[in-house]
Amino acid sequence: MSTKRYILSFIFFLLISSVFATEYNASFFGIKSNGTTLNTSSIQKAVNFISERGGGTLKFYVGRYLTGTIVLKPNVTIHLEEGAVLVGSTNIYDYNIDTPNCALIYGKGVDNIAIKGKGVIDGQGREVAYHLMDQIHNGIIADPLDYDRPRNRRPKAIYLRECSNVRIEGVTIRNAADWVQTYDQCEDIVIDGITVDSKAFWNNDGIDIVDCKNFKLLNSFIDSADDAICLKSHDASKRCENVEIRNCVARSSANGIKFGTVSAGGYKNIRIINNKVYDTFRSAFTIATPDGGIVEDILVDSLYAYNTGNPLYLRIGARWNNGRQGALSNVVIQNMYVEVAADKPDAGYSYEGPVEDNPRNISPSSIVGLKDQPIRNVTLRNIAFVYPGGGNPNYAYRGTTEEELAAIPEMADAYPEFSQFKELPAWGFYIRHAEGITFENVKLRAEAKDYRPALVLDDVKGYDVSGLTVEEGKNKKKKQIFVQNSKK
Amino acid sequence: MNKLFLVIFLVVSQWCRAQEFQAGDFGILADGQTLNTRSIQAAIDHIHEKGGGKLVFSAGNYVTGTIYLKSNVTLHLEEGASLLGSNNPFDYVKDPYVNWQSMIFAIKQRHIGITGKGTINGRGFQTAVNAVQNVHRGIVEDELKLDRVREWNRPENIYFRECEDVTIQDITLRDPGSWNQTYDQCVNLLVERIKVDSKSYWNNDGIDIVDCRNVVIRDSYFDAADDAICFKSHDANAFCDSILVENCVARSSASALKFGTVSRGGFKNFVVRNLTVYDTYRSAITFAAVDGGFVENILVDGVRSINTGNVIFLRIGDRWSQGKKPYMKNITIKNVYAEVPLDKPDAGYNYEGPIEDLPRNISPASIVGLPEYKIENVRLENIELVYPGGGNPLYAHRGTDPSELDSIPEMADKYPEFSQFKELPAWGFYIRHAKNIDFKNVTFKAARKDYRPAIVTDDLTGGTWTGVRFEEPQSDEKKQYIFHNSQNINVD
Amino acid sequence: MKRIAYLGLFFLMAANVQAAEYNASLFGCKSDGVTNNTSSIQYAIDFISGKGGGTLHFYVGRYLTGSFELKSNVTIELHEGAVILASPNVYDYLNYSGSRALIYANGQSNIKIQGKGVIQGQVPLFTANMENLTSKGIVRKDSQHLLPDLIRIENSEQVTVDGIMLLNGLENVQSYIGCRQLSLSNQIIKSNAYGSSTGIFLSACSAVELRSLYVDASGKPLREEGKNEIRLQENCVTPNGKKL
Repeated sequence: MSTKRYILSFIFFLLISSVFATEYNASFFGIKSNGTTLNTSSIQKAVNFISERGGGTLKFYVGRYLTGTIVLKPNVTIHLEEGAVLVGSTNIYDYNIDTPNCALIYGKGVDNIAIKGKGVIDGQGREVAYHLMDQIHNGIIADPLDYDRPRNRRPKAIYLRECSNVRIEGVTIRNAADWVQTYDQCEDIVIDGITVDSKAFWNNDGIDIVDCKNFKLLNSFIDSADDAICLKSHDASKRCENVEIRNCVARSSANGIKFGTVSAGGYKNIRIINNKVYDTFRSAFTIATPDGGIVEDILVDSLYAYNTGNPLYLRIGARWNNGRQGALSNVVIQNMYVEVAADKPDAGYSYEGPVEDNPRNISPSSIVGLKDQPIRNVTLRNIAFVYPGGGNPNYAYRGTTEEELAAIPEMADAYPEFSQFKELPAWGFYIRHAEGITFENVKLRAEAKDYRPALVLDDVKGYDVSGLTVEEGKNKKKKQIFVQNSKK
Repeated sequence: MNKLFLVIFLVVSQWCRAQEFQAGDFGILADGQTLNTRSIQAAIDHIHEKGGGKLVFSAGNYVTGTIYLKSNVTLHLEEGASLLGSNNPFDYVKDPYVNWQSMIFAIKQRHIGITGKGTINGRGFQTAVNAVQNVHRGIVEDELKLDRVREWNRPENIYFRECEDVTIQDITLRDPGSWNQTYDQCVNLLVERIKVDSKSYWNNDGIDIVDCRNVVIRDSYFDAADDAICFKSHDANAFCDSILVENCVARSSASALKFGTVSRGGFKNFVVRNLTVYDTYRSAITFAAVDGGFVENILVDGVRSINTGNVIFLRIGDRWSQGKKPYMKNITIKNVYAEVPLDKPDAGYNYEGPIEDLPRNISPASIVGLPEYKIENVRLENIELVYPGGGNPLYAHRGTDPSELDSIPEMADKYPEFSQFKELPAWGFYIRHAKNIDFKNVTFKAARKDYRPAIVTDDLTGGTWTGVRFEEPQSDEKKQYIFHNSQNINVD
Repeated sequence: MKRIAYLGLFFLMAANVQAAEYNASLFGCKSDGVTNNTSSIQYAIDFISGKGGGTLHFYVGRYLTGSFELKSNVTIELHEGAVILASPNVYDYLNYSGSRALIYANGQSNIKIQGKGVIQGQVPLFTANMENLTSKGIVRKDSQHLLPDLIRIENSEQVTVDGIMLLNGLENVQSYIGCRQLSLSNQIIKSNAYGSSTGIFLSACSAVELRSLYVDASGKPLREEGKNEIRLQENCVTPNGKKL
């Protein structure tokens, strides 16, 4: 063989191996699909091995693969074929509980990773949480048991921190013991076509996007006990930026799509397009910035919500803001349709949202800033919200006199929630401490008579509600708009 | 005896025609989640008050805690129907009369049964684990002996006490938290075609018959972590009487067919036919009279024992006798083929039997009475015992000098187990404190040479031995039996 | 003298120790809305009462249960968001000398249910279940006696139910018979799912105080039988603003 030919074939070989990243079957590493063998060490070995060899795909075929925490390494793809289930161990000690944010699949500072395929990741979260509870009650693990549940050490299904070039495609993620999946300070992420089914335990957020840049969540279905699609900002020096959420369907016993609660840094340039929300206990869409976060350039287009506790809640608070004031400005919400439930919209789901802030008639949508920090430039365009109405003043009452409106507490440092003020004076929309609020083609409808007006504005500078139409039962003559301390 | 069985069948067949009630009609849900305890109880009470009948469970998973079966009611589990035990220990009643926990109780009831091809699954492992947690949390008291909650504080699948005309047919019994099924002081009990898969937790016996009369167990399969087919006598004034065990298969990480350990009253008039034993850690057949009870008139005919640690262990002890005099006599064991393995016969099963009484070479079959209480009139006929042999004196040694034989402890008050004496001086059979032990056509085979003789007797009076044969490699000159302090043994 | 003072101190401390706090999860109660917690709740109450009393805390979540009995010196604290969810199965209710209830007490003293939590009946499911049993001939048509109250307390003293929301009862949301020093306060009662549902039923009670009750019931908000001594009634209204 000539040298030339030798070199050529060598190059060819290199090309092949780089183009077709190598695939490894799980069984190659002694990983067992029987559902009872604990595979943690074997899977970890496989991930390490593949990463050390320059990367490739670890393939799981049909079967149940029991495992504890797996730490992802660069250039490794986990591929779960249809029928393959990565099953979380029910033993809390099989997880990296000494690391904050322990998780079944854990990655920190890793580049170019993926989880793909039609398989399932099942955290067995309820059983894991129960085992953790046992250990806490026995005094082995210390935990304050807030609300009679473990505060710390509940494993997430996926936790990635400071990772880049991440692809999560096609998989179903089920039954986490805590938030389902968290992407914290990650860049260049695409999550496409996943299913989240997680009502296994408290705080089962569907997806948490924390301080991420260039993030796309596409074509996914999320059904979760806590907030379904959730953007957060934990670090005051970071923020979520360039996030796109498109073509998703969400169900939640909390909020459908939420910014917050923790919102230290903020959110910029977020596009939420063509999504659906149903059977959701709290708000279809909510932005809360109680911790100093700056929220700007937000577009919500084509959001449809059915059987939902509340359509919309925008809030600035002052909870953990450490002197820095949060801001919320330049929000466009267009083509949004919401039907609000008369009864509990999430009735029958495990871990239903809590019955709270009573007595209270059906709460309106709200935009509530702070006295010295109004919410600025919110445009509502082509909107229809349908409420059940029926507010009864003998059950709960909030009048529209100056004193009564002034008596509504600011609750700046309270946990922000659409129901936090208990009874509000409007059935459709309540806006306080805002600037530049525009209603273009906004329809509010109450099915039954309500003792409250449709809209109350209090301390709003520069409002234009000329595009508002109101329908309340057969009540044609009622004054539906109350304005206090505000100007157009 | 046969007449009595006939009576049972007549009774059974008459009440099989009883009215059927569907579980679903009582709102009993097959969703595998709803706790049905009180609905099932209401259904049983209703049927009982209407004069009796069958409560039929169609396919599905029915979760329940403790229920009480009442007279003239049969639970019928259709194929695919499972009664699942709740995993909350507080969902079980500890019945004050029997002082024990169970999923299904019947106390002083008549004409009752559990039938059908469905399953009773105690899901006992998780329940037992949860019970341990409750103790650790300080909300339940238990001494946690051997790091487990005591047997009576864990639920069995079935506990019937002082019941008459009981039929257990076709069902599968799985995974109890304690023993599996106990029939205590019951009369006319028919157990047939059942499957027992009972290795989910410690003390998972297959079946426990305590002080019962007129019992038939047949065509059944037992796989148990603890003793598989177990007869007990808890009451010094009661005993097991008139019992037929036939066509059964047993696997156990303890003993396959056992009388005892608790043996206060006694056991008499037994026929055991066509028993298959495999993968069993201790003895294929063990009769213990250690608490003042008796064993009398027992026929064991047809045993095939494969991969089982020990073949026969008959023992009189003096543990909790309280002055009552034990005896064991008139026992015939015939048509037995047994293979004893070199390694642990139950290796790989959950809750394997404990490795204990070491060092010890392979233990022989034994008949061991006490100096003052001899085991009498035992006839062993048409028996082939295949041992691995290979006993190594450097590992464990018990010689056959008189002083060495005399030094074997009596262990009268100890828990009786074939291995309790550690090394014994024979590889095939060891007999001590007995009268009239007859061997007819008995073959002993050792696969490899053993340092011990095949048979040692000590304090045996009387016996006719015909056709006793030995096969052991490299042992042409070896004397295969040693008689110590023994007399009137006629060897042909 | 000094010794007596010490002794007094000791008793104070002992009393302090006795008023212990217990989380429901300690007894294996599950807040998932589907686990039937009856046995665990009853065990907890018996345990706490046996220890001299204390508080059983239920935090946010839905605790499915059938009948359980309150015992002296035990407080049930339902924190905001906690729901005691009544089983829809009639057989999950025990027969207490002819009547049924989700939460029952007889002959106890110093019993309390408090907090912003909820006690919730599942009326449509329950009545459907009853109709099914009736149509099958398993329960008789005149089975009114099978309808459980959410709370029924008999012959007890120092009884307090404070702050609770009571939803969807059957004939009687809550019944008090022969009680002394009965205090009902800050309750929201909404019970319209059953044909005629009484919010509060009182019979032969003395030293009764009713404060800040909102009673929205399909039957009478307050029904009395025999002689009751209602010492105080303030701020108690129905949906149309009328007093009880």
